[in-house]
Amino acid sequence: MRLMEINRRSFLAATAAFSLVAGKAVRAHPGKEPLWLAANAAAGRQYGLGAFDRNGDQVFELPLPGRGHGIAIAPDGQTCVAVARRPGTFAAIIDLAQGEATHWLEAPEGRHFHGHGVFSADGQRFFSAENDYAEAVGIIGIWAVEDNWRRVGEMSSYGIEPHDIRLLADGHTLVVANGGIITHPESGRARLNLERMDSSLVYMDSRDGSLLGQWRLPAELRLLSMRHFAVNANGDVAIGMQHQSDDQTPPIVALHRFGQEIRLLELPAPMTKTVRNYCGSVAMAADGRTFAASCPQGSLVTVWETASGRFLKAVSVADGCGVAAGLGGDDLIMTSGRRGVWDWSAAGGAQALPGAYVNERNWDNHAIRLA
Amino acid sequence: MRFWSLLGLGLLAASPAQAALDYAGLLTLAADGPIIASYQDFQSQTDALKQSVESFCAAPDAGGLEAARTAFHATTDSWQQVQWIGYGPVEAFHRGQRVQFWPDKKNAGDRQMLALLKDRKADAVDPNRVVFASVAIQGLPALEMLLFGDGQADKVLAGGDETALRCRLISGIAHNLNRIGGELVHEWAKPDGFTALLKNAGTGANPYADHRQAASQMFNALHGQLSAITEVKLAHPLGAAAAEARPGRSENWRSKRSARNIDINLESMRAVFAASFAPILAANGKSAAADRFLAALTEAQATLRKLPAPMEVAMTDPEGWKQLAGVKAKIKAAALILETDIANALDLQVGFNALDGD
Repeated sequence: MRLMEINRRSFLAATAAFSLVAGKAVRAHPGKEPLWLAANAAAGRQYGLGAFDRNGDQVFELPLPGRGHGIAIAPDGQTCVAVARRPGTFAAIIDLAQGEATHWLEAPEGRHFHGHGVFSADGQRFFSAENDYAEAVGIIGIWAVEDNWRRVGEMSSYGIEPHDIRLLADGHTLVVANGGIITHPESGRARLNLERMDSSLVYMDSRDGSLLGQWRLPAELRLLSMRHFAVNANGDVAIGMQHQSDDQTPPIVALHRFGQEIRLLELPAPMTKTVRNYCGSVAMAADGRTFAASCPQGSLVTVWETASGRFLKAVSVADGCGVAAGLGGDDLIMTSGRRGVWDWSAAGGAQALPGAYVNERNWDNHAIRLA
Repeated sequence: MRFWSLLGLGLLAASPAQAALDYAGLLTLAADGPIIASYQDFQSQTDALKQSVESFCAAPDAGGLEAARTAFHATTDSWQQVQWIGYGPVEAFHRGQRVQFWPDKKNAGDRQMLALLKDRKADAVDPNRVVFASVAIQGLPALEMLLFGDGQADKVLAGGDETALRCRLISGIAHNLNRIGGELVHEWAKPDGFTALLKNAGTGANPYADHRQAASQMFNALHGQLSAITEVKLAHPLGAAAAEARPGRSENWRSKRSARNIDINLESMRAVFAASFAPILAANGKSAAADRFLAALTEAQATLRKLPAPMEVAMTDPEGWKQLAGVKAKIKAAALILETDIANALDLQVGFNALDGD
């Protein structure tokens, strides 16, 4: 334990040492045009958070001390939070008008981030999915935005390893995907409890942390980890999953609605093997009628109809993982870990964004649209 | 359209189904062979550097400075062999960035070291303080500036306070490098170290789900190094023409060894690939692909070695610029073989999302 705390202190010192060299934004966001945010890497392994416009040109870029992961945008669109990839302990608060980091959140002692967070409907609170690694339980950290981002409390996630977290359109229901896998920063990203894995989808009240409902997959699919999801205005939750063994090829995409059973969606036969049991990210189109579920290990992004759960398309994107709502109501943005970004629509197919910037960066797991 | 097409479902099923690839064997050959040997070499070079700096500072003279510079070169040679390994122990505590904060496109290292010299903060990189120092001033680039920089290198021989200040910084950096060198060897070689993690992928508390995932990361690190060479080491300083070349953007422009770095990078990748990837490919009847990749690296090295002058000088001359552009093209060709033939043969793909687990 003592060793771990010492390691943590020197890690914090090393992160501070890195932040001494962090640069400034290139160009601020003009404020009217939509833009997309995503973590990335440049040649020479430099990590950053990038913002690009509809042409794929750079709006701004901020260096990060390590790989970023999820990004949460405040309801007023003025601020976003870029959260470190697990088991990272930093989160950058970014002023979108300036394209600059104004604060760096540090996970409290004994906690690390799992890569995702979300704002409350009024923008006053920020909720971060965290690991309490001494107790191996999931925590939702609560930060008071207006009070200089002070840590004001935490709630249970009612499971292990809360990963993605979103707010439903009612403005107070938080949905949390508990991945169910125990990890500890001393063991890096090692999975410590596969024999007792317990993944669940939790609905909780953001106002008092009370549990509203919790759903699990059938027992025979207990190695299936629910990790990422997207929600639409109707309360449809589109889930992306990862299976922790190669012995079988179960569905890795599902739909859920509060009060109902989880609906597993089948990929067309030849694809079940190609995707290697791994879904990386999920996003709804702006109209919520279609959603994308990316399968980077198969270098394809699957597209589904939300209402019916019908498989629509597999779009080939080399190491494609990041997905987000596109420019219009029904299209989707897809980013490549091999560089490049595409806008896909049923009518127009996949159109590469021409900008040099998106073609000079390797795009990380997640992307998000700022309207 | 090269990386992008809407595939028919039939094509999606076309993944190679052949004899099982021995990813575990590949990892063992690499880790027990060239990787640990190179880290051990780095540790012993930093040891020699530390001693050389200490004897110079005990009695500073031109001969001692020259010896320290030679030790800097030997240490950098050694670091360039392992530079491609961007993950594992080198990633923890920013060890890699602390050895060499690079690329430093905003010139943070120079700015911060100049400020530190101006404020005469002699203790900035003392062993007990270095962990709080910026990553940009505690490694090889900072040492290069102090030992080779115009208007800097002379001052270390100026005597008195000036020499004392600079010697303390130089010595602090050398100790820091030596300590990191020791940590890297230890973290790879200890019984439950990174080598063991690679070998035992998929079992117990292990960050890798299986050996394939670990091999995928190694494969991607090799590919990443080729991209870094073409884009950061070459394209960034070369610009669009000799007249626009910016030698100061080269990796080690002060000590004029940027081309030597690339040569060592390629040599090291060749050694690693030949010792670990090639035998596994050969066992699956894919020797031809392995040979093509190795030949492409050799060809790039041959072109590089024909440079008539250090690349920092050659790039400003149209003929030299063209030669360097040729080197860049050859390295890109090697990267292409890696991302097509070798990737297919190994059932791996280039990309950093594909090997995640997030």
